[in-house]
Amino acid sequence: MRICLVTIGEAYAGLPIFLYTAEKSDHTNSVINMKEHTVNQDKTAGAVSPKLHLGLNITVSSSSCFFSMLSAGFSVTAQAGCSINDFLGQDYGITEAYIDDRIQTIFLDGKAVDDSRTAMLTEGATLALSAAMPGMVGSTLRKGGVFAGMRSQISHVTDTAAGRDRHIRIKLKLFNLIAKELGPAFLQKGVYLEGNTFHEFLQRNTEGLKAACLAISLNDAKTDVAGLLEINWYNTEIFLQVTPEQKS
Amino acid sequence: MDKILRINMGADGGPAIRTEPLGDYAGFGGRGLTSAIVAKEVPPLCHPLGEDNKLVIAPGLLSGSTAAMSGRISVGCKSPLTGGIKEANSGGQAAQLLGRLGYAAIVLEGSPKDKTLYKILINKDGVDIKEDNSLCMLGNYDTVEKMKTAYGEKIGCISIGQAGEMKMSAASVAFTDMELRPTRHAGRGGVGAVMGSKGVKVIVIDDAGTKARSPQDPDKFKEANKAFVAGLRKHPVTGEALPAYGTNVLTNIINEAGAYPTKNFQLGQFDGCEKISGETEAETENARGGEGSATHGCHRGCVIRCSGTYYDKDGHYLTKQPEYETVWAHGGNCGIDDLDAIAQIDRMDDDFGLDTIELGATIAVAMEAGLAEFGDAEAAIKMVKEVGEGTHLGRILGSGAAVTGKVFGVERVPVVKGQAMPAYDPRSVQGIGVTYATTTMGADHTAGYAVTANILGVGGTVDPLKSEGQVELSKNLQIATAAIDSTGMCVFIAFAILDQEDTFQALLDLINSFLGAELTGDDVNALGMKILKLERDFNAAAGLTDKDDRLPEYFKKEPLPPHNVTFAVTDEELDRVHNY
Repeated sequence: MRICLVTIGEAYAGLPIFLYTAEKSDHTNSVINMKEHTVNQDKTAGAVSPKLHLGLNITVSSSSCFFSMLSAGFSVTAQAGCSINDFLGQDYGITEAYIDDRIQTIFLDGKAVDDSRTAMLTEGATLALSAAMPGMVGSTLRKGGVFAGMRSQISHVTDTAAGRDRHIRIKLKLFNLIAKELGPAFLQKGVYLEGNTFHEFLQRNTEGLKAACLAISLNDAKTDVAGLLEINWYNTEIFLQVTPEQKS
Repeated sequence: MDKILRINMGADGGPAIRTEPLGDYAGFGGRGLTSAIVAKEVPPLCHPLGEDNKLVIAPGLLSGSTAAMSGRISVGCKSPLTGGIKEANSGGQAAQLLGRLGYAAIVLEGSPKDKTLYKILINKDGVDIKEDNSLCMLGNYDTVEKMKTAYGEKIGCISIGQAGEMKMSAASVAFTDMELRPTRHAGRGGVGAVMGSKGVKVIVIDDAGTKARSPQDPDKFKEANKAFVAGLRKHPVTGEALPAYGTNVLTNIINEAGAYPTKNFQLGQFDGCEKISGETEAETENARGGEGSATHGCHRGCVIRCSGTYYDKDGHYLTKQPEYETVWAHGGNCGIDDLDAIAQIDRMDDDFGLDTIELGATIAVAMEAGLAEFGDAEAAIKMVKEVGEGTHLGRILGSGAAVTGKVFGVERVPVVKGQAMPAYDPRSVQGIGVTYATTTMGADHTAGYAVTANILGVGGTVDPLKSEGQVELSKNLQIATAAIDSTGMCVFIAFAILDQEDTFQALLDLINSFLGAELTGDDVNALGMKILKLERDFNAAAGLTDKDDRLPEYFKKEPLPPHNVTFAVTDEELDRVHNY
């Protein structure tokens, strides 16, 4: 069994991204002692240090199995008081044109957003991004437009911007085509997940993960899907990075 | 498509068949034709299951042609559920087959003298009607199987299941899809009960030996159809989201908006929503594989293909891809987050011939009454079985949410004019509450669809921050939807028309080149208003008043979490919707 560890750069929040390439991994750490796997690289004010750093190297075609997890929501850090456009553009390189044309439906804390340039992110906010949706109500929930008046009771009202001197955690949900198109980039950069969310994902996608994963690392130690299944994920937090295999 | 087939089921000596020219009904199709016939010929005060009611089945104006998306079919009558006029429409193959055979409508009239069941065969040689009591109390699937055995596999079927035979108010009329499965339904308003009251179990349509209808201007028609299809394919909703995820793509979005009615409209968000979302459904279907899994059309000529096929864990066909409304009605609204259980109920609904919205809402009311716990999928399945078997409880449930609420003393019953609300809570999206309240059909999410107000020129300038704006928009949407329903076009074309002016023009060109007409946006608007006026007048004569254009009182009193909003549009504002 040959495992090749490659560092491909400094990752989000100071965590290195590891890319493993392997034909097959051994089930070597069948039971993980949670106390031995504490990661504490994130010194950014306002951010919570994850307990576990989980890296998955997957086949390129298998990222779709993570999409339902992305729609359930995950956490990322953002600058306090920045707009949705600034967050997506500056932190993730998403263009204004994509935001304007493709992300047609946005919710901030469950309120429909009409102007993503002025809607500000605050600590603990939940941001949901979707493509244009069908139906009368789907149209009504779109950014702006003639039908926005039909849901004025749940429209987002822009608050005064908070100070931008600190980092905050927000919950992000990616739906439908947006999950498909932006999901891989978020996963590659890394997302924070509650342990029980990952546990449920693992239970539902065991076979899919076995087929998709070329290599798995947990706090720098290699493991496999069977190893992950033996861990008690409840009351933990995971920093998950999913990287696609590199074609030589 | 210039003739109407009329069958008097109560004629002396047995059913009498006659074919008539369109006459005064020329220019009407789909909902326009069903409502025009019902409004003119059905006494508004008649009993919906009596001899004076008529069941009208009408394809759209362009059905039977090669126009894309032209395969919708309308079913109209006086509704046993609402007591008013009803139009329910469906996909499936029947519209195209009837159009090719030249029928603008089938009208079932009168009442049979006894409980004999009939089957009707329509083909290029004419119409034949036969007694067939072997079909008695068969489900739609078995009924269609017997028709396949008798008439071959190149047919289409319009049928009722046990619910229609028992004349339940939640009974649907089933239409077979391209695979000859009875998966498409004109669901709303108890139209299946009216077909049952006519003693007709199944109508078999065989278009062998016919050709597609010819347009008046073939070159312009071809060009317009090409532009129309291109417009649908380039739009992100009709070209990408709907084909990839189906209508259930809405689950996550409506839930995020806090507008997803949960546990009988007690909450606006459902914790288990990601387990039953369109994304999860498509992922499940794709993983299980099989022909037509996550992307499939419901009729010939469909280019959006928002449907799919749901296979069970072992890879066996179970049902078509359950749609958003179904997944909500039997899922989140009942606290159920198990897609396989929901798909199983969908199959049962299709087989018994039941409106999934009405029955899902009814089961949620029953759960609130204490007949089962929210989230208990097995109990929900058992209740649906009781409906199909016609037990005493099943008869009550099959009569819909309003009756069930009365029988079990439940106050929270989400109905308007006796018809259950669909999958959007009107407290969060108040504009749709205006439509639920004021549409002629009872609570109906498609009555005010998103056909653009500004492009049709019917929107005017409205202030979106005022409730008057919601009233104005709802009115305009109801008018435009009535017109589109008459074309036989799938209502999902609305998204491309909404955003792309050239696609709307292509649609107008398509209609005009086919009919040899010169319709403008204003004409479409006028047609919509004419249809709504016919329907409103019928309802008024049937005894419905402004007081029926209301949401149940609790929507004004009970704040809906998480936004804690109540329905704030006043009665006076609701009464202004139809001032035109």
